[in-house]
Amino acid sequence: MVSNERITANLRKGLVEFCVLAILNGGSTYGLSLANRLQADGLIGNESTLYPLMARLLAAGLVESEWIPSDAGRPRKYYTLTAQGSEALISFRSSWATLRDAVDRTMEEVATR
Amino acid sequence: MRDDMMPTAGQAWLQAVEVELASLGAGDRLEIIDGLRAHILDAVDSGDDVTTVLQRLGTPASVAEQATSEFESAPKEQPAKSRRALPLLAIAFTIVAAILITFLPSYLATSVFDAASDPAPPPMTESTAEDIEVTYDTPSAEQLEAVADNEISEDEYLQGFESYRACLAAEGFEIVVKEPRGDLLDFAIPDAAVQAGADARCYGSDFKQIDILWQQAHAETSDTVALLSDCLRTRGITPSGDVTELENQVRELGLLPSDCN
Repeated sequence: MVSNERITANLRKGLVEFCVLAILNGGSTYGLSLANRLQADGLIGNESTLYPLMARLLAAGLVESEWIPSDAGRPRKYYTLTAQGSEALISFRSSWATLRDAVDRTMEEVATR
Repeated sequence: MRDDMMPTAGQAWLQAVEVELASLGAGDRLEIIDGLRAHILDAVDSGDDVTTVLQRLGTPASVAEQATSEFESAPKEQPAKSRRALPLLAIAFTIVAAILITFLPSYLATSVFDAASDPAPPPMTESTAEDIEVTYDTPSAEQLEAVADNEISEDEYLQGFESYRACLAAEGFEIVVKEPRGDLLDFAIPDAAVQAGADARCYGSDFKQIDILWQQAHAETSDTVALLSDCLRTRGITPSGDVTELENQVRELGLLPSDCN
């Protein structure tokens, strides 16, 4: 029997990065804030999973980072969506809508048999 | 970023993560450490206790496992993983271990340093056992003997590497040896050996603790230091100090350490 946690973890793979891009599309933010939001939404299991993902998005040029002075006096590392990241997000939205509808249809058909 | 604001337990945890991330490229490793460091400082600034913050982040070994998985799921650019970039340790490894064991719950101090004293994995619930795969090192008697005096001779370093190479060869994998970088051996491990778990087994059994102690003692030739130093020199800056100071020098130029990759 595959646990719910395992199913969720497998499904999240490949999706979380686009959720990160979508959040950044709403404005630049720093790691802790991003991690807290993703975890609250159940999109990541552990906060530390965010940073390898961010390193990969940075290396791919989908995101850029910058140290910006904060009210606390210590600079914060902010992540910002790049034009390339924005394009990737648009592509994902289209693919996801198609895939989501297909999965929903399949699940509904099976359920009504 | 001012490292003097980082609690000691946080610094020790980050250094343990850096060791565990040895199989990643230096740029990716620096970027991950940079993000984690900012996360810890922001969480502590917001009033969280550092021990709680580190517990939420997980063990250094589990962070490394997630990181490896993240980069393995991405398109591969290299057929083999390089181990040449085992990172610099600014604090003696034994001190790091002592700090972690003193300040953190015992399950947070895993794999790299406590395998010898605690070879039995802690009991796990069914669901965690399914979701988390933790590698526990079982160092060979030869490796334990080599690290017993906390010093590694060149012979012990080379012998440890040869044992590691022979162990992988026995499992059908060949290490690609490159030109040495300073005092450090430079070599690449076939990706298949990593995927099969043979690399983790052989490295833990024959070489890991030796490698870490050797690199700690020859930190000035570490790949990370070389990378950051080259980065500064090409911009007309004379590099000085340990890896933290070099990172600060890079940041003063308005760059991130990962920009030096």
